[in-house]
Amino acid sequence: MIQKWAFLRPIYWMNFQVNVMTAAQYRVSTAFWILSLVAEPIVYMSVWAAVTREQGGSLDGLTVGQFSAYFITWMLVRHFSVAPVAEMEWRIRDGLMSGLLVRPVNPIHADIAENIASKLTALPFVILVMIGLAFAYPPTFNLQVWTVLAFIPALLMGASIRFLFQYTLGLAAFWVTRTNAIFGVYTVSEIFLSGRFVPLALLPAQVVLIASILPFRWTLSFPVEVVLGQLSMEQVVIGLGIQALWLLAMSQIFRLIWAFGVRQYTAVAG
Amino acid sequence: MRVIALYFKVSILNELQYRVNFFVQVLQSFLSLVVALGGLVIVFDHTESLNGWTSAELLAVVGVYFIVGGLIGSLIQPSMQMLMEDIRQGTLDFAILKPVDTQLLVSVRQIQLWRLMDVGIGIVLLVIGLTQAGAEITVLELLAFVVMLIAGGIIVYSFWLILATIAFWFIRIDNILQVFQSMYEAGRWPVRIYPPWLQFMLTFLVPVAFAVTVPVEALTGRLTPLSFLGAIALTVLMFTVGRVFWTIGIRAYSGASA
Repeated sequence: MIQKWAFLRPIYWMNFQVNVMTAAQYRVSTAFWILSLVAEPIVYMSVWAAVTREQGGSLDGLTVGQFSAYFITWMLVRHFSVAPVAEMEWRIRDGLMSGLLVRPVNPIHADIAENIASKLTALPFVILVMIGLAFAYPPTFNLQVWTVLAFIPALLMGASIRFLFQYTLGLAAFWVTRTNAIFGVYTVSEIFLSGRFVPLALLPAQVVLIASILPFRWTLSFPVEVVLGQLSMEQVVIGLGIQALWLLAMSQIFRLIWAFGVRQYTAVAG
Repeated sequence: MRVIALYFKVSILNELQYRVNFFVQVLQSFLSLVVALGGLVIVFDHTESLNGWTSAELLAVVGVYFIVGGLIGSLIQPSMQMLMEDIRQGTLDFAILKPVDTQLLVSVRQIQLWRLMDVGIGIVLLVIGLTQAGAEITVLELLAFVVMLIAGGIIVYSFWLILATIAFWFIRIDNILQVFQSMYEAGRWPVRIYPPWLQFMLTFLVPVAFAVTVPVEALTGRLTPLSFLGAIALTVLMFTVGRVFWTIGIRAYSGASA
């Protein structure tokens, strides 16, 4: 394990540096990309603020300020869990994968490095936007030291689960040439089951149960619930455990599908 | 005119070859329908009305959202994306060399036939929504709706043209498409629910308000003569600005060949 990491570390570092520089070069492009990510939570926030006002200031015990705290945290978690891996299809279909396969390491490592780099370079902008949302809708946070501390592993594991989930789905391109249908189904499930459109607390108990059995709740809703103090310490510990299990399961599923997929792969010669 | 008709014909024939795309589009339309309707169901599970709009009226909003989205996605966006790609790769030379007005040519070069399915879905939703709302629509309102829809279309077209023209200077702006799409999502809800600064953005920066909300307002008796005239004025303004922008932009184009 340690040996492997010593081997991988320079690879991560190089990819990281290259990607930071690329992002700095295409500033307009990066700015637009961030803009496209902020519209969504603001829309949801506005909808729920309008509903809450219509209901006289409180919806199932949630105030506008609490919705605002929810979606501000949502932005941070979402930013970390966005995985631009839809290009897997294009890589496999156009035969670009050949070049990546002859390299001595699994291409996922370069992708992870790229992902980390793009997240860190865009983070300042995301924080700016979070502050902007806080001005539009003043949030009511009720932060405690332990919830903030528990939030960090919840956030990192949630983001990793989602990255691996999407990456593995992208591997479907080894068998079918169009994967956008698969990602479409994924996105729709995620909008309703991960707390992306609506806090899970507002959904019927059966739906929440389904969301908790599937990975969706653990990618977005759970970290937000943790930092908002909606869970007891016991629930947080159990949740972190479930996240760890999903992370383990996802990485094993990824390895398995990768192994089968690569055998399936036949390049279009260039 | 003949040029437009000819290009449309070629594009349609081209699209008819790829029948798998049809099924992909069926699925995509279905999924966005699920998101739109699911959202409405969840919201109206918790409230009777949203900022004065009933669920039936919001269904009509979603209907127009689909109609306009379908029109943009099938008629406007494909040509504009092709334009941006051509600018980036330097292949716009071929379009400039042709003896018709280049702006006209780049605006009609490509269409996505199957996206028009959304227009059909939108009309069905709109009719259901309006019937449920018990709206009695006068001929005048219907006329105002059609005029506003066309005005909205021209505004969105001009907006896209301006965006695509920016590529003459900045080259890599592929993310613009995502920006537009995520902003357009905001049109699923009446723009009045948003904070003032966002309403302003959605009205003048990304003209979602004029594309979706204003036409529905025409049908639900919310449209004031002032916003009707404002929409017409903005249409003329945007179209002129788009044209001017294009003329300046194309001079900055240096090509990539030779």
